[in-house]
Amino acid sequence: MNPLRDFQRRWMASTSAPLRFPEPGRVEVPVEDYDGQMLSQIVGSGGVPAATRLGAYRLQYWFRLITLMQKDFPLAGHILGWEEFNPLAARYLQEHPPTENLDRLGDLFPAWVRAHGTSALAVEAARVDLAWNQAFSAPVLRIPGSADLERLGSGETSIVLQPAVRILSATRDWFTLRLGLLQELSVPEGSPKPLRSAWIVSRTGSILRAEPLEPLLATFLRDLRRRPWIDALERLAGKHPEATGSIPDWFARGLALGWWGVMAD
Amino acid sequence: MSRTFARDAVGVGLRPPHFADAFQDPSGVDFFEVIAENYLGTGPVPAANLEKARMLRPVALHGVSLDLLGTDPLDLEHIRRVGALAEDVGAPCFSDHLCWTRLDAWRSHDLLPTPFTEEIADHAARRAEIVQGLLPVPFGIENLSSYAAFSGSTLTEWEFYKRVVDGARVWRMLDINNIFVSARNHDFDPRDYLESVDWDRVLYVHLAGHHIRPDGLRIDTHDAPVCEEVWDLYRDAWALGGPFPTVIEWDDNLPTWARLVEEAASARTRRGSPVSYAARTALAAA
Repeated sequence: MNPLRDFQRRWMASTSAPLRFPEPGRVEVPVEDYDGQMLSQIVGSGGVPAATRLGAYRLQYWFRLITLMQKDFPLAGHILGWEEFNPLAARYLQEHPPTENLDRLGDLFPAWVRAHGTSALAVEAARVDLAWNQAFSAPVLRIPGSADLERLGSGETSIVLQPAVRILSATRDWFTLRLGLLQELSVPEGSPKPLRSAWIVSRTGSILRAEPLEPLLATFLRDLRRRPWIDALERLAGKHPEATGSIPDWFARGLALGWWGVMAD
Repeated sequence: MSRTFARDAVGVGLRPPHFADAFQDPSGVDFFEVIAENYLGTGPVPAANLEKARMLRPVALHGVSLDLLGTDPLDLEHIRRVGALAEDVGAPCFSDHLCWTRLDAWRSHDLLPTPFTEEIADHAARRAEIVQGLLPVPFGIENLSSYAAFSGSTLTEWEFYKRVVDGARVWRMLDINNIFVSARNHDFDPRDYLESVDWDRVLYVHLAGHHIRPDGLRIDTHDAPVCEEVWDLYRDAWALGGPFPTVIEWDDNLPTWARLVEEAASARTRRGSPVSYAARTALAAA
């Protein structure tokens, strides 16, 4: 094998070996995990032995990723407490190591914590965190113009929900809490107040917003993700004829809040 | 069209939390440096902010994932995208690190060292030459800070760096803080490093703060002001090879925009004149 590649393989194995969390709030870098040949190539000097030097890279690897998970999942961290969140995130990262794009680091985290028996509240918190992150990094479609709006009535429109729009069911007011956490305000310990509702997370420019949705509007918007306008409208009118009168208001609201986009021709 | 900056310009690494303040008042900063990878995605928010930055000041691109010391094939598509971004923003140059970052599917998201040997330097030089061939702007290689030295090294760090840059016929993006951090971690004289630099091939230099662990190891954290010893080294570099453009990097524990601009102003006031080093050295010898 190419000696440089062999060196890099040994380095990777040593520096991505898991950290140990022997008790809440304590982290250890177990040196017995190191590849002996790797260690023998590092020069210890100035009172800092080779294992400590390699350990500096190992700590850096793990701390960078765990810190990113903390930033991406403030609600889950708040619910679990960081002493429980950090080892959990480390275990997740071991199973789902980073790819090129760190924006996608936590994409599987809500499903993973759910599969690992974490509380339903923490799973919901992680789901809201992920929706928020995805809304931020989603691409933007062209905003509808008057020509697009004229075609809406004929059913020939290509207006769809912007990729940034996320519709969520939530049992708690995560959104006020998340705003408080992001602004580093003092927020109460524990779970936020109950508030069973559908919510929409959307983005206008670089501003993310979340707000509660009427149940029928949430149903309609979810349907719009699956089928064209005209079909979604027909289904709504068939099942909930009383809602059709609200459509113009919903549309205007979505226009003001950046919900709608136009698919490229 | 690329927008260049003056040879004595002082810029800052522009990070998202500073966007609003920087766009409102960019005075005191001659150019911005941005992390290229943050603007290669499809997200419209970064693109819109980069456009605003570009309207105010020249923007230099800095990368973290080229993998010059790597053994995986170079990611040519990534390099082409960086080149296209450089053209879009009119960047005067692009730089990345003399390090490796990946192996097969593994991504370190860290800047990793190798032993310093002629073979590895030549390997990196060949890769750097390919990178420069694909880019529409000058390509600079940044020297690394490191926490580990290797028994297999046959060159000093500055000999290794020089061999790569000269071999590839590219540029230096010289990080003064990195020289200092490595010098302290591996017990060499940072001035020996400075003496080896061909200053005409320096695109610009970096300054940053670093962290000292309780065991004495210095870690390149970019989370603090530039320390006095690094300012001293910067002054010596300026005396030896100035003028050259300077960028203040600050990535963690971010200060206010005003404080960052203050740090940039310090670079202007602290560097002295480009003749003082020779005079000081001569005096010291006498």
